[in-house]
Amino acid sequence: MLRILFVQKFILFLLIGLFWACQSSSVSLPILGPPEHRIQAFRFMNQDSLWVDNQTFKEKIYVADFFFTTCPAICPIMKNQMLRVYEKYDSEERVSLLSHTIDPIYDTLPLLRDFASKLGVETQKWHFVTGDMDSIYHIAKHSYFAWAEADDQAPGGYLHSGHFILVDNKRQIRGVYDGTVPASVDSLLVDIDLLLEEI
Amino acid sequence: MIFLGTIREILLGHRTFLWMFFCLIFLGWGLSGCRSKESSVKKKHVLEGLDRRTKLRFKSYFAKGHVLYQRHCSNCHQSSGKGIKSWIPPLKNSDYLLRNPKRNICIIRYGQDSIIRVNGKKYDSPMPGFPQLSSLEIAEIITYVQNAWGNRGGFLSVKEVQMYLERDSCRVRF
Repeated sequence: MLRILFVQKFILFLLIGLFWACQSSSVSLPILGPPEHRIQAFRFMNQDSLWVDNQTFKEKIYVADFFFTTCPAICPIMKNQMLRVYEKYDSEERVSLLSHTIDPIYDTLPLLRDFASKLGVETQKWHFVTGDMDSIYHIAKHSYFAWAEADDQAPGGYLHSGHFILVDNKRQIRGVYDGTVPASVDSLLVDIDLLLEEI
Repeated sequence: MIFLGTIREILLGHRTFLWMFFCLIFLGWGLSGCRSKESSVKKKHVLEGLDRRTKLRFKSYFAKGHVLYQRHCSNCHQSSGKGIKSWIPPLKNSDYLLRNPKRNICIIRYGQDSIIRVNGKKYDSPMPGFPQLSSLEIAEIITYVQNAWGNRGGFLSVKEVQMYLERDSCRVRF
């Protein structure tokens, strides 16, 4: 009799545990930045010479980063990590990637196009954009809180942060990840799943 | 005798136990065969025919080369040596790398900016030189790269590296 009671209690605990685990998975990601912070309006051109602006990501969430094609330091590792995101959400239309060049003078449209084809990626999913240098640096600093600047001492001539910024369909920042650390990108992949449930 | 008898009783008495026992022995044998084959083939191939001194140097170069590779090369060529798509060429099973070890010395020191063909695929991204690396460090990196991930390039001594670096042809960027 005592044993049956014990088993019953055990099963009850197990059910409560399972229920709790299911409940806790529905947490939503925090909204980062100062109150009412939104990514400002922008208009850049991608590797297919098409305009990319806020409307492009209207019903979507996207991951943004900053790079340049001749970067010898952290960009290869960032692009390799971004490829993980690309490959995981290959067939998920609500996820896009947006890479801004911080060297628009050298990284012309044909060069960005060439770069995208070397990575074997499609424009619909992964936009490599260029534009006016000042507006790229401005949006990096004030909208994404990423940081980029020209520096003669740095390898390749530019210094920039290697962060991936997760933006939701309301232009709010929902997560910041280190694009040079595979473990950090692991959590980005988890967070994208969470955010997809929300939109 | 009594002891043996008891064991026999247990073994025969419990059929399942007997089966488990044989399965375990079989599994152990299979696994050990698999492991010894893999490691012995690798080491034999690379270190074969080298004297004791060179073997020691080989191992030391390989270990230090691994650390240097992680620091200077793995950002682009990856820890796995696989490179990145059509952007950065692989070093693992790379015909370009293994065909001409001397060329690798000069590329690491002075960089390279021409179109190359690796395993039939074209690559045109330039590679920067690493003038801060010493001849010994270059020898260690090449010894690592030539023998990691299943590559079979063998040992490259610091003397050979110095010899090739002194040649004028090395300064011509590939």
